[in-house]
Amino acid sequence: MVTTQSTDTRTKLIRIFTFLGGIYFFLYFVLPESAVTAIGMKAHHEQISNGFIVIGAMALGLGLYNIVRAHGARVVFQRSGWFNSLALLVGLLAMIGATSAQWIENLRNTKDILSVQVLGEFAMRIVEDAKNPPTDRVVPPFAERVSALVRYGEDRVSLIESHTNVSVAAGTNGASSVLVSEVRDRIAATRAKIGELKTISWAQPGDEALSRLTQFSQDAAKLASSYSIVKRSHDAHSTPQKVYDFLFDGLFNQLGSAMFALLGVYIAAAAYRAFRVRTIESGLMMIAAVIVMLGQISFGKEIYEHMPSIRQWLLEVPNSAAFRAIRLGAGVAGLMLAIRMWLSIESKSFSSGRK
Amino acid sequence: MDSSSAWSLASIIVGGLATLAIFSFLIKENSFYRFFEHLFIGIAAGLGPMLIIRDFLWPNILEPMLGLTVVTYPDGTQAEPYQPLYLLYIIPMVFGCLYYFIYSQRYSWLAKIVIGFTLGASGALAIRGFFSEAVPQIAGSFKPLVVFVEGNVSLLESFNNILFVATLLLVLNYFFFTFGEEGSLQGKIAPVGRPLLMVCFGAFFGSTVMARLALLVERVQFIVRDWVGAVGSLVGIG
Repeated sequence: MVTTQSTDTRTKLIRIFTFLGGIYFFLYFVLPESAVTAIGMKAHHEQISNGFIVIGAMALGLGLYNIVRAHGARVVFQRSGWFNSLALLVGLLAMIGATSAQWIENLRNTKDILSVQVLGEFAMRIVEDAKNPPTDRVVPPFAERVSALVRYGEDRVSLIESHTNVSVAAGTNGASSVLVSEVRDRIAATRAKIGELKTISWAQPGDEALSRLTQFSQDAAKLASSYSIVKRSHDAHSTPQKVYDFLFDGLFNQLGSAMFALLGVYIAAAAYRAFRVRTIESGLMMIAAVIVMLGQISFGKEIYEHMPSIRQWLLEVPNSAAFRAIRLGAGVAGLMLAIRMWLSIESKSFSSGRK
Repeated sequence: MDSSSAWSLASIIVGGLATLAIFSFLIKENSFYRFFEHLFIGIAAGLGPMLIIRDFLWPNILEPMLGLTVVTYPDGTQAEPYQPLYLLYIIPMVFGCLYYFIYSQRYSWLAKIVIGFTLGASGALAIRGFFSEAVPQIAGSFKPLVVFVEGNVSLLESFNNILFVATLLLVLNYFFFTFGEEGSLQGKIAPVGRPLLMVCFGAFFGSTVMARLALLVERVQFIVRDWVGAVGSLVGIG
């Protein structure tokens, strides 16, 4: 049994957390920028804001669980409309599955591209470290690093070559033959540079050796860039991407547009049925609506040449001023509500700590 | 027909069927409509959480927290050191999990803590949002009532500005004090705001109807051009 004392403690706890939830953003807004910077709020603002979003994102499972529970029960017990619930669940699972598969495929390709980009970046890092030896970290000897670079370079180049050959042979590569031949040219150039790197003695990093490494880095960056285009193009033609596009473009977008278009018909029909020009005010509303509609189509210009200009004036002057007044009025009401919500004045039943 | 064309054809045919199903509601509510309506809700409900995970949680939180953004070079050195501060994201994650106590009869008050926290943050953000949005608008609304262009008074621009400021003040007055005290000045000018508000509503109505009709036209074009063509090519008459 919940005692009054423990209920009071819970009430206080809920109110304290409600207040704490808002204090960060409030302080960030009211404190001068110098103070925000001095206490480190500015430097970590993005991470702290992300932390707030994470809290909300944790509730994602609640929504999914509720949908699955409500519609799953209807399907399992074959209640009225169970077939529609089944459609909903199939749509839900299909979209989660397709998005996950597309995402995983994308992550795999990104990792692949990054592994090639590392080649050029690593070569550049070796050059930088040779010029300005780092003091905050330990790095292996120069010759050892170049040797690792050469081995890694040979491995990556072979991998890119096999990937490009496989995708061309499979006929699944959407990239044009120009792109593929560009990748092959870059592979040949990078391989030649790796061959050159092998012939140099790396005991002492001289200027010429560093210049060779810089050139290699540039060639490797070009290879990574070309490979990235081919890989992304291949990604766009993969089965997970096609299934995702089918669900997103073929169903989600089409259904969304159809729903909005349907509402347009109902707005017009409802206005036709309910709208009666009985007073001056309703007459003004009708005139404004007709001018805005006619001013937007070429037929309006046929009726009266200056119709688009009148529409523009109507939107920019009286409509803009009245809308601004509405927004300010609603904004003040919203401000009051926000203060009451933050200070737990708004809903006593919510912060009561009772079930 | 190659695989890409087949997927594209399937997309058009199913999209057309879905559009027709939604439009069938214009005749009356029917099971064809309800089926696609539920399918739409299911797809939207599946897409939303996945987008949050894919576009926010993974790249901004989980990837840096797990150290997956740290590039390791072939010699074992790293491009930049791992930032252990990212582990602090575990705190909001655990705190956010309190939402799930909503299913417990005994501990549902714990869910209220996190709901309250989120409400508090939303409240403070709304306060900030009001001031950062409304203050520049208020300042920008008070335009010069007499406008000079190259040394001469521009009658049209002056009229526009006077009308703008007058509309703003009259609608605000009507918004806050709908019914003024009888006989007072405020009571006399309050009703003037109403017709101006009506002009605004009329313009909104016109814009909304036109936007929706543009969508309707696009849908009809899709059915007539793309869908009929796709069905024709499927049955071999296209």
